[in-house]
Amino acid sequence: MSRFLKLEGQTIKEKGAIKKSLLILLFYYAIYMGFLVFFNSITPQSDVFFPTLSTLSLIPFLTTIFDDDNTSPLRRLLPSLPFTRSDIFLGRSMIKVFIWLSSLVISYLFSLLVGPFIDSAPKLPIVYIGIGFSFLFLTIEHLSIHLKGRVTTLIRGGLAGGLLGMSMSSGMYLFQGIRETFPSGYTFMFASLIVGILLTLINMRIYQRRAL
Amino acid sequence: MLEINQIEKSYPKFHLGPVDLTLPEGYIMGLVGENGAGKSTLIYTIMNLLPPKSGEVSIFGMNYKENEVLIKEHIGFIYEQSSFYENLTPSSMARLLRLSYKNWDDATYRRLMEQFSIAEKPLKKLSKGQRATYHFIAALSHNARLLILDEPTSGLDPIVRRELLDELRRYVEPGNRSVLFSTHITSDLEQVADLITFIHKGQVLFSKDVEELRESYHVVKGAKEAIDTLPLLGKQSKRTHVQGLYEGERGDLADAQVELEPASLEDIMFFMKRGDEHEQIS
Repeated sequence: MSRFLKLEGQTIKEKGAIKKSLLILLFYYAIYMGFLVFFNSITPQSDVFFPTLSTLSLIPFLTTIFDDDNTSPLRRLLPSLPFTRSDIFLGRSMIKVFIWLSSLVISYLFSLLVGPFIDSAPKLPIVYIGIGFSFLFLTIEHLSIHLKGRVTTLIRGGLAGGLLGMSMSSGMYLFQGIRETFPSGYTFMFASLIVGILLTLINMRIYQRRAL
Repeated sequence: MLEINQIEKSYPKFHLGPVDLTLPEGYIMGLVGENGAGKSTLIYTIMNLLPPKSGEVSIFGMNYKENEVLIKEHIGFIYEQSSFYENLTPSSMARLLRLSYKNWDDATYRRLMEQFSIAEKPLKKLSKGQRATYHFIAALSHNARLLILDEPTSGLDPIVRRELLDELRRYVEPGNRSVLFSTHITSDLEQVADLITFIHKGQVLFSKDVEELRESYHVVKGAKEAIDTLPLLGKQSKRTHVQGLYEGERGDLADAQVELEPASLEDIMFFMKRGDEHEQIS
């Protein structure tokens, strides 16, 4: 497993993916902030900003770091190298969890940073909702490992566009709805983590047994 | 080295096997068959990329269930199409492969890179031939004991192809390494293969020594009346004569009013595939 993680780390380094993904992240942030400032219609932002940003932040990382043209390394290159399918699946999952945690931290800090201007600093229930929602999104995105490289890239692009569009239009109602249903936010986060982990276990089972 | 016992794999419209196959140490085995015959399915099953419906694959006396990492450590595998990260340069890709294989051999890698003059630019900008050659170099650079190659020479020019085939010959010379490779280019196999396995519609029709093949298959040509009396594996009608594939000793046909020619691998594949189909070619 450690050898696989080293390989994944080196692959990210060779691709120069971190710098690229941070630039794309700034681009997404700029569009979102531009929308909020231009329309100035959804204030206060404290219920929406962090959950949207933490989910939106995942996309540039996942798209850039794991963009593989049409080579589908999880189905072709990696299983032909001396790694078990468990190593590959768990290793890739761990990297994605690390990226998710990083995007949570970045989004939280950014929400605090612009808080004085658009009232975006999240309260604890909103932090829980953001954690739960972005984790669910991550595990759904993780299902794309079964698809071909270019299809995966297209789906990630579609998810990013859809999410951005939703956050600019009805996102506020979605997150407010979640907050009304789960006032403490904790129950939503806990349920999301359980569902996400179950989904990942099913995903792993499929990956270990399927024809690649 | 490699033993396949009763491997079967089913798809809605295709069934492979049961396949039994043995590749001993020090041999190069060519896997031939028409498109869709099951060559890649068999190779992917050997590589544990496709789980078989039944049967067992044993490599170096081990199975995947218990020793997947150890087995793959000693296999050099090439897909029919590039499987490497296309945006990376050869040296970047080599750094990743070095991390993957414990036995990565930098000296061999550098020697082959120089020999084949692979340019240092993103793999997707290399010519198809250079990319295929690079995969070849990578497979030969980690002291693998078994090379499994799925159509490795397609798209290569004849000179590079011959150089790579020479490398394969050199690779098996120590006697403890083997190669299994599928190809459509039967002339490649005639140059380097020791054993030929022919797959047709998911079934292994034969797996034989090349010399044995040369001695046991002959193309016979003659008048239709003379040809029709012979037990042939396949026939083809030409404007002036009929020809077919005969399996047996040359001497068996001493009294027949027919001409005999050595059968090439392509002849054998053609007649076996077409069976008793009579095709008129003008």
